[in-house]
Amino acid sequence: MHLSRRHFLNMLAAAGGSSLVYNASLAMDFMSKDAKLTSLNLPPANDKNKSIVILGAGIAGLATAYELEKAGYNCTIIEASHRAGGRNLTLRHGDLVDELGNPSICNFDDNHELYMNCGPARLPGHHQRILHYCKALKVPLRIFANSNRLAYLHDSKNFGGKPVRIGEHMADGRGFVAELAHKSLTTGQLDAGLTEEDIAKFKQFIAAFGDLKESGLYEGTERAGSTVDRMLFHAKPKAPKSLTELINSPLFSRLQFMSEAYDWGEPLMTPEGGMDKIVDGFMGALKSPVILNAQVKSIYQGDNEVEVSYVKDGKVVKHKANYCFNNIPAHFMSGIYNNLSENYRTALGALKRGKLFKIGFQMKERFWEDEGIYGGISYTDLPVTQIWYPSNDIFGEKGIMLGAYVWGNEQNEYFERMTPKQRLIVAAENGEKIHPGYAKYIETGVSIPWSRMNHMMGCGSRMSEDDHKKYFSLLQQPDGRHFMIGDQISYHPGWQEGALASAENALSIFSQQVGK
Amino acid sequence: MYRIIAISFMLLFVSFSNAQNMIATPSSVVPCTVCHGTQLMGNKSNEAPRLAELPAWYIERQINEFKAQGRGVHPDDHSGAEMLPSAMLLTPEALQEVFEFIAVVKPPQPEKTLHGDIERGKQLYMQCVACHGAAGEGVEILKAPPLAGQNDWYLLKQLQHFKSGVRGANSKDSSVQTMVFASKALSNETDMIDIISYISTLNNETGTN
Repeated sequence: MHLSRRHFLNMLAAAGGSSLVYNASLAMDFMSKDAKLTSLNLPPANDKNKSIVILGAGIAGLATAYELEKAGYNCTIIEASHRAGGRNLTLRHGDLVDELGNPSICNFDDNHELYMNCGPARLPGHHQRILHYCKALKVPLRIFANSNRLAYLHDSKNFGGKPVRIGEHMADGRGFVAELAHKSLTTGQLDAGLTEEDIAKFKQFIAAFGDLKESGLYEGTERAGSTVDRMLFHAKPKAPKSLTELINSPLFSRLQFMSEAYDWGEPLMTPEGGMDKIVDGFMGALKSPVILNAQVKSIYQGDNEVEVSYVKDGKVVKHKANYCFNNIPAHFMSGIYNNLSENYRTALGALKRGKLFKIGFQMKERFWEDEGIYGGISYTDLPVTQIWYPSNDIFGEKGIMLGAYVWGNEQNEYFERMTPKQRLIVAAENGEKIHPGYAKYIETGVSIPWSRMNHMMGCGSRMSEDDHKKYFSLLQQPDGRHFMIGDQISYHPGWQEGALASAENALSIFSQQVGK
Repeated sequence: MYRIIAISFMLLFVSFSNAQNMIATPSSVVPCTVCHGTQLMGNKSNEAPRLAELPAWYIERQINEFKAQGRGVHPDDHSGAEMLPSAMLLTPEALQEVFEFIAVVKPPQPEKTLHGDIERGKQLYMQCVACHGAAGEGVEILKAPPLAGQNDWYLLKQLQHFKSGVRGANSKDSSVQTMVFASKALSNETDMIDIISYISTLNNETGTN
């Protein structure tokens, strides 16, 4: 049988999950490269179309204002919330946790190292747009540990319900896949089409991949650590778990590959002192007014201008501009009077609210560091789903730990329906299963259900596949003088890079239009 | 064709006059408008109903229902569960501001999203008249809310919820039980859509309040 390259990739996929294919494809240079963003350098504004109104001071709105301002436009940003930044939210001591129906104040200690990134928290090296702005706005970044081989996979139904170090699972998984592949080549069933030399080289790769013995067998590896002190004795690897036990665990089969995703590939970065340093950077650079606590009531498009009315200090204010860039979550648009075209409004209505939930705990001691964990993420099949260890302030007295990071509608609703206090109790109980004694370290906590947060009511908007085909490209285009922007108008909702891409797209169409 | 153009012009005119007459939202009503729309016209994306034409007595009853956990606690009542914590926070003073805002706000009529058999719906609506009134205007003494002017998608959702027990199962309110019982008389979704399509014809041009 002839082993084509495609066939080889399929085989790997069957044996080890699609992430292996991904890596192999990368090695073979199949994947496209990401475009590098240089400054947008919009053409200078002309006098006829100089005034711009931007709705929503999220990342897309701020970047749009920044670029237009540089080109000489007069911008006004109108923001419904008490703060700029949208879902780029970092909570610290004394901040308002603005959940609809459950407002509270964040009780973290007053310390610059004690903060929680409630929305975006990590930046991969290929998100060139957001990194470009970090550089331009002089936002200091540092490395952020996303994956950590010493963090845990916790499967409550397997391995005796005990957490297993991710590195052990990785070593065993690769070992068994390699052993299988090595055997297949030896028996000559899959090697047709490869020369003797090819096979020898490929076997070297396989052996290195799984750390196999010379025999081609996997008998455990030092990569997963040692049962004796490795400095004073020869390392003695743990015996591998049985293959049947391993593959019985859905977490083993899925979650050890989380950091294989392109957006979570190491190394990641994060702004020193909190993600909202990017918001601060934009706010410091902008000269345009950013009007806070101003909820938009109507958007009316005439022939030569757009009239937006908003409420500020108990009064309706009408604001006219030549063009409008709209960063408001699309699911609010049917509640805001507007005269956008019917097609466009239908398309906006097809964007549905996504859900995402986080909990932040202030821990009085950094107990995870005693377990050799410095940054990174543990995964569990319990409702909290993920636990994040802070990458900042190693050996500090205290730390803010992410006590839950939850996707999926049902899982989110489970937490949303609880009072904020109940949510923390459940998350503490979940944490106990991974780190016995966990709850006693908790001093205070906050919960952020994004689909309940005031003026947001959602995170990572969704569209059905059919609607996407029908409507999405429409929303990437303006409706008259109105441009929709935000991560919602990208193929990457929930990422600042998606928000910036939407702004870049809108601005490039805009400058072609006004240039005429 | 000319008729369509004429109607479009009329809609544009109505819409434009509404843009001119935006009324400032009192600060304690702003949280309501996040979901229910800035002019309380409802928002299908958030599954939040139109409040603009609802009478004070009905809103007050519903808020009390939420507070007593008679509404918003069924596992399948997702939007009700979203309303519950906000209802819990509403003070009588804030509620009074909501009523005052409703009295002055005049959002455009809701868009029709259901297109059932209106004639058939008219016949089926006969069974609703006794409580909700011939013009869907509602009858306070029977605690039956007005239906005319409400978003059609919301009426459908509530009929489905009454029939399946999502709405009413936890309620001690006898008028709610009357509606639970009445909903059983509707044999299927077609009946519901036809009735609601008829109710939508009862919306008048300027709103019912």
